[in-house]
This record gives sequence, structure tokens and C-alpha cells, in this order.
Amino acid sequence: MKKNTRYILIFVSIILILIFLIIINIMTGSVSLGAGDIFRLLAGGHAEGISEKIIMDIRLPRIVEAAFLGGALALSGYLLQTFFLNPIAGPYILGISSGGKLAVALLMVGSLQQGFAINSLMMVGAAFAGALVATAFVLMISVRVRSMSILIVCGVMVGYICSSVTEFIVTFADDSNIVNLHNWSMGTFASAGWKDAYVYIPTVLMCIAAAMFLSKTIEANLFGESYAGSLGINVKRFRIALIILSGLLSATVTAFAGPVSFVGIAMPHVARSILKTERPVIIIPASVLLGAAFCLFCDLLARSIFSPVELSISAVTAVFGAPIVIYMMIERRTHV
Amino acid sequence: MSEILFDNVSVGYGHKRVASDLSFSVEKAEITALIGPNGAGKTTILKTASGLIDALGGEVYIKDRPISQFSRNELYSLISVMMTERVRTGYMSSHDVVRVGRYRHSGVFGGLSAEDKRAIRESMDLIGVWELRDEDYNKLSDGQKQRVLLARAIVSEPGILIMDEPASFLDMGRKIEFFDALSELVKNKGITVLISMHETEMVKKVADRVICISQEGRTDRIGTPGDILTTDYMEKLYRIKDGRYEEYYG
Repeated sequence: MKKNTRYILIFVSIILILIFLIIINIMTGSVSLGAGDIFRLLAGGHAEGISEKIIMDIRLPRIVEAAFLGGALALSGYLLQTFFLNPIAGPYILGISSGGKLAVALLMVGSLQQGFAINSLMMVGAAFAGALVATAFVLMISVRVRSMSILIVCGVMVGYICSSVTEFIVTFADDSNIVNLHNWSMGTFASAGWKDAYVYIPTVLMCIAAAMFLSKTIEANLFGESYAGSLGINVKRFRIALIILSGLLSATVTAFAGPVSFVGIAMPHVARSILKTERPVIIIPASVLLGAAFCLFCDLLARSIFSPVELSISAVTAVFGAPIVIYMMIERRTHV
Repeated sequence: MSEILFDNVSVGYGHKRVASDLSFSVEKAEITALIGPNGAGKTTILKTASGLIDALGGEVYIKDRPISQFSRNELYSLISVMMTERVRTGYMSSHDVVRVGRYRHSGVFGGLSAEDKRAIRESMDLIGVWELRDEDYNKLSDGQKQRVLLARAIVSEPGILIMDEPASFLDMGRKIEFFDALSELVKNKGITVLISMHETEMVKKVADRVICISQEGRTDRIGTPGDILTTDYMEKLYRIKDGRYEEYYG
């Protein structure tokens, strides 16, 4: 029971931090808003004209996007870590985000040249296809080399190749769209709008639910594939489910915010460290909440430190995420 | 009725045959030991017997029914498997480890019923690891870890337990503890055990029957430990120079 109380306390703390970050995010910006305006809005009333517009049309959609996509990234990373039975895996480092990015860039440039309109669903679809191709490539390597470090190096290489091709495409795109495309390809929540939310909120929620239903199987799989098989689990089908879910999550993020680094690797690790458990049924929601909080925090810094100039989100997530990953590798070396 | 029956079975992976012409049976409430040199195919035979890989030829029967006719659910409510796979598990208590053995019984999200809790308590008690329930599994000694894994293997209350060299990396005292626990289990619960082991000196005490797999991957000899564990035969099976077996094990 003591253990459960501890879990509840930690979850409550994470949620409080999340709420705190949401409020700070609403208040901070080129026009600073007082707490009074926010509470009035939340209470269902109206703030003074311009404040309400800023909150409802600019800040809130961005907050919602950062929170949902941050959670999606953390979960995507967790599922990949489960797949490779290795904590140092994530959609960005394995080149999966960059694969999605390349596919979306192709779609965008294609639409500009061919003159067809693209919608959110097409973006997610393209990103998903790109993510799966990149994953297939990484998997092809993983069956040949059994070393996780080589696999990660290969993933990083795939990432570089996709990024340089994307860069090439962006350079030759129509002038007027370069700015947009360029910002997106670096990773940003700046373009957030409510209409995208109709696509990513259901997708992310669906994936979280699916992951929760897999949690018991993920737990069994922690003890190795043979063991999972001996419990009557269809390991092949389970692994396909993992790849599809993690691909769908990272594709959703890439389609709307571009590639975002380190959230996927670092957040599940933070969850495991503070909760001191490996149980997926606890780690999955914790990772999602931490991913959301982490992205809100990083986005706050990205848009406010050098305001009005915005940093790319990955520039900030890397500053905080990379040290966590380095620490994790050192810890693993000494603990094995 | 035999619990497990191999009828002229070939085992291996893909096109690679590891062992063939295997015919033997495993009887209820007995410990049947699989012995033989490294590379003879003992692990592959155990994986085939537990349905983790398909036989390349012949037929494996579980309770007189071809193993291929079992659904995963049916098969693994009968059989529990303890392989040598050692994985890094991170933060996990011994109780967490044993709980996973209730996979097929627990709720959708892994919730435990009163019945699950009773089974966990009982199997951990039986193996003598209940006191270790809150300990970090990774910080246990090898002997304790193996006993926790044994508790996990029987927590699903299987009729048949298949184990691959469960005591290999234990010291002498822990080996004795482990095999004591196993013998108790067979006596109290009537579980059927098929086990591969390297400790020929312990086979005599532990096993009811011995199946010898030769270097060539054939069932070379089957019998009671008394019949099999003779100096001459051990020297032949393990390809030991004349007289050397006696010098070390005699």
C-alpha cells in the first residue's frame, strides 16, 4: 500500500506541474496577461476583447498541441524502447522522425507545384508512410547487427540522410513558402491551430488507449521474447502493433510540429527513475504526462527567452534531454 | 497416457536440423532429465517440446494430442517454461516478477484477483521466496533469482514444467537448494518436469528418468539414473578419455 501512495503522490505532483506550466504558458508572451483574465476565461466569462483572442486563438492551441504531441513523443519512445528491449531508443535518434519529415516535405512541395491543397490527414498519412519506411530500414539493419549502439549510429545516419534531402527540397521550394517549411522542418509548435487538433487529439488518445491495453503484454515482454511466447503471447503480432503505434505517434508529431528531439528517449527514463518501477501500466501514463509537461516547459523557453525571436523546439529539448540520455548511458554502464 | 511424447521428431531452426530421430516420453509426476554434451540440441528439444518452435519432422504429443492441435491458450495453461534467457529488467521487486507469471489469469491491465494473490503467495511460499517479495529482483543473488523464477514458473499452476539448465550458474549449495525445492514441488503438486541439466552428479538424486542426447543429436539411451550413470557410458556420452570420469566424479 505504501508503494501505491507513493505512485499517487508522484502522479498528483506531475499533474500539478502540468497545470502550473499551462498557466505560465497562457500568461507569458509579447502581451503579458494577468492571472485575473485567465481565471475569468476559465470560469466561462469573457476577458477584455484582445486578451481573449490572444488566449483562445494563439496561446491555447499552442499549449494543447505541445501537451498532446509531447505526450505522443514520450509514448512513441517508450514503445520503441519496448520493441528493441533497450532504453536508449526513440523516434528521433532512430531516424524515424526524419523519415516522416522527408515524406511531409515531399508532399508539401508536391502540392505547391501540382497545385493541390493538402489537409492535416494527408500530412499525417505522409509522415506515417515516411516513418514506416525509415523504421523498416532500421529494422533491416537490426536483424543484421545485434548491437544496439551500431543500430543507433545507423538511425542517426538515416536521420541525417533524410534531413539533407529535406533541406535540398526546401531550398528548391517556392520562395513564399520557404519560411514556413523551413521553420517546420526544424521543429516548432508555432504553427498550432485548432483545426489540426481535430486530427491529433483523437489519434494520440487512441494510441494511448491502445498502449494501455498492451501494457500487460509489454510487461511480460520485458523478460524476453521466448518468455512472452511461453505465456501464450503472439510475439510477432505484438511487435507489429508496437511498430505501428510508435510510427503513428511519431508521424502525428512530425506532421504538425516537425521533428522534436530527445523527448522520446528521455521521458520514459525519467518516469522509471522517479517512480522506481518498470510496470508499463504505471510508466505509460507517467511518460505521457511527463512528455506533455516537458514540451510545455521547453516551448515556453523556446518562445520567450529571445522573444520576439523564436528558437526551434528541438534546440531547447536537446539542451535538457541530451544530458539525461548521457546520464542514463553512464548509469547503465556502471549498473549492468 | 504420457504427458509429453516425441515420436521420431526432428528439431532445429528453419532448414538447420539440430537433432533428429528423437523418440521418448515424459511421464506424469516424474522428473525427466535431459543430459548430453553442449551443442547436442537440448535447448532446441525443450523449445520444441514447449511449442515455442515447430518440429521439423515427426510429431510431438502433449497428453496424447498432437501439439499442433493446441491453441496457444490451451497449451500454455498446461505448460510452463523456464528458459535460460537472462534479461535486464530494471526496477522490479520479486513479487513483480512472479506476478507476470499470472499473465493469463490477471485482468486486462494486469490487476490481480484474490485467486491470483493466493497463487502468488502459495508458490512463493512453496519455493521459500515469500520473504524476498519486496526485494529488488536485480539485487538478489543468482540462487535467489533462480528460485524466484521457479516460483514464477509454477504460479500459473501448470501440469508440465519445462526447464533449461536452471541451476547452471549456481554454486553447489544453491544447486542443492534449488533441486530440493524442485523435488518438493513434484512430490506435493504432482507436476511433471522435463529438465535439461549439466550436473550429472545430481541427476541421480533428482531425476526419475534420464534421456541422453548424443553429440550427433540422437536419443542415445533412456533409462533410470542407475542404469545410465555408469562410468563407461558417461565417458562415451561426453567423450571423456578412459578413466578420467572416475578421477573427477567417482
